[in-house]
Amino acid sequence: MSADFLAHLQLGASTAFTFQNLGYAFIGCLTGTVIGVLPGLGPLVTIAMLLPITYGLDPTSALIMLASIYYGAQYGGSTTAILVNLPGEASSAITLIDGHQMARQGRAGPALAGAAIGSFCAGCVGTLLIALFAVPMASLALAFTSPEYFSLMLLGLIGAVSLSSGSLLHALGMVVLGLLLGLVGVDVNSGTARFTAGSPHLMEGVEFACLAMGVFGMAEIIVTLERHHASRESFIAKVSSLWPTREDMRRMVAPTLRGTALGSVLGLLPGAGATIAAFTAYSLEKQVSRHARELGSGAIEGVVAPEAANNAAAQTNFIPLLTLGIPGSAVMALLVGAMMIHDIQPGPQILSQHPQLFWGLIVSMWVGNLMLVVLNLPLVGLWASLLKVPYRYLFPAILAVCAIGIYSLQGSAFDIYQMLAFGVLGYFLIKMDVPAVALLMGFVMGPMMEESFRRALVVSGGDLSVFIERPISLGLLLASAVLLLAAVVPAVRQRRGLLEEPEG
Amino acid sequence: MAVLNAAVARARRLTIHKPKNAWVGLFYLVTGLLFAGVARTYALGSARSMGAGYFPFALGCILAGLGLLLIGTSLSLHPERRPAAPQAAPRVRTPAWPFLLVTGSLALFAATIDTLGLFLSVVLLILVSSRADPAFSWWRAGVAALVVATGACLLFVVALGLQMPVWPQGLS
Repeated sequence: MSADFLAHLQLGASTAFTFQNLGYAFIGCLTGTVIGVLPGLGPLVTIAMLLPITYGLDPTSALIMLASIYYGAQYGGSTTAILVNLPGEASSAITLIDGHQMARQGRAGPALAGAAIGSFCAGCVGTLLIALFAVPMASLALAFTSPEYFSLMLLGLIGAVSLSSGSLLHALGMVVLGLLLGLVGVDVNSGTARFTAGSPHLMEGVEFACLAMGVFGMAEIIVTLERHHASRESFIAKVSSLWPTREDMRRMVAPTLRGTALGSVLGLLPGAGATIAAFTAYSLEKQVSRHARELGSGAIEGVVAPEAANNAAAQTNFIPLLTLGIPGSAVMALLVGAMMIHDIQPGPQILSQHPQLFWGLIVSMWVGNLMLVVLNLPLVGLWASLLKVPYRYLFPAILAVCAIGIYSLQGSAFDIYQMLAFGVLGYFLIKMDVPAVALLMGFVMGPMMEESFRRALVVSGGDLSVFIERPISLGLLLASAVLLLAAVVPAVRQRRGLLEEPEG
Repeated sequence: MAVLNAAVARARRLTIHKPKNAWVGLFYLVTGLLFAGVARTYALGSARSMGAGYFPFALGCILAGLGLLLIGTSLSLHPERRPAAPQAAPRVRTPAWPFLLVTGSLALFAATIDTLGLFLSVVLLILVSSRADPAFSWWRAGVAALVVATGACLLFVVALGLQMPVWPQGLS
């Protein structure tokens, strides 16, 4: 077994370390980082655009480049999340909670470095795990059917609720609203156009970017401007240290490991992916970390754990694709397309028929992670110094980049109006102290949850007990219940104290 | 009869302790009812074969229910225990300009991008939104607008190869 393993790695290394493949990996990483940083654009659009260019390349090189765009975008997304409180990628949405707080406290450098280091460690471990356990991992994924998926997503949502600051009811409402917004558009099952008000633009549903940029970007900018208007101070964020302290490094170890483990497992599940891995990792930190109390106000654990998780998940996301031929997400589906164009059938036979593709890709992932860390760490200084620019120059640029990025999604000005509408919503939410992160989570999960729920019920013939009968699903549901109780009990106790009737 | 009197007396003492909860609760209630109402018009189906309206209807009802709960938590029967300081920070008049300018500039961008092209739209966006900071001089805003517009065109159209009109229709 170990002899095999080494032989596989050797094969992979000899494929990945050719001058060409290194070059393609580098281009992919660079492009991916830029894409990740810019809000609105995403790896999906970029990969789709670059697909034709890869026709002329040999399949391994093509896959290497496209794959490195994908996880490069994860790195880039965390940069904007930390610096500007804008989730560049859906999976970076959770990083912005603590990451931006750290930036506000002048600790953008350690936050960015922590994210990069955590991601790199996760990438290393993830690559190793894939190399060792690709096949058994794939069969684990098969045990997950619709009821398990639904319960897993419910756990993720409850996790998002329980980790939100502020009132539980507020956060629950945000999740449900997010779910509803996610359902806007044409229903795949019945072909009915839901909640579109007859507008052809909404047929595809609400764009994540519009929601995220509006609620987080626009609303935040407005509120910040109001504060300055009132106080007339010139807002220049202070940037103290650029590098994590020794204390930071020590604190990063456990969350990185936890995030990596969680992300590696969750990335295996088709559809679950990087976003749910990031959210779940953060929830876990809140329950388990020694510094749980600081989460939400700038704890480095809150940056490192989700970043490690989303990077690990981005890697293991390839496993169901390569071993089972099941694309785990839209990006993976594009990659399946790329493979088929090169006459490669993804599936169990890929290990035997195209070993150099499989192992070459895996080793190149590790190389890509290395390149990304080398690219990003020196840039930490550059990014952090961006914050020193007076806000009045920053905010119009941010508005412009958001607007253009969103416009570029479908070449439609309507999307900008969407962003405007969500910006107004976001403004209302900030004013009312409602946590908006849960909204994003519900939004991403909406269609998937409905789909799993529907499938589970179809298979069970309308019997709701299917969720409790299956052991994995039951376990996940119990975990959700526990999380919910853990969040509710302190709140109830507090209220009881307030409501106590005076004697007499 | 006495029960009725007691109930009325209690209702008179109902005050809103947490206005924010009340507003958000109202928002959830109305939105939930709206979604549920629209969902009713789609085929609901049954548990065994969920129609298009099943899930959204359920969610809409849940949201409305949460709204009611929130409104409930915002009320209290003890007007004398109202928190002394208002929940918001010390009352400063919130300026309306930032909201209007940011929203307005983005709307302007959306309205002009197709006809005026990227460069001019960005210039307009920056010029209008810059008014939100009173210390932003016209001169500086103009320079910033040109810089950002040029940078955006270079980045999005040249470097990334996205298809979008850079100049107004008619020129090219």
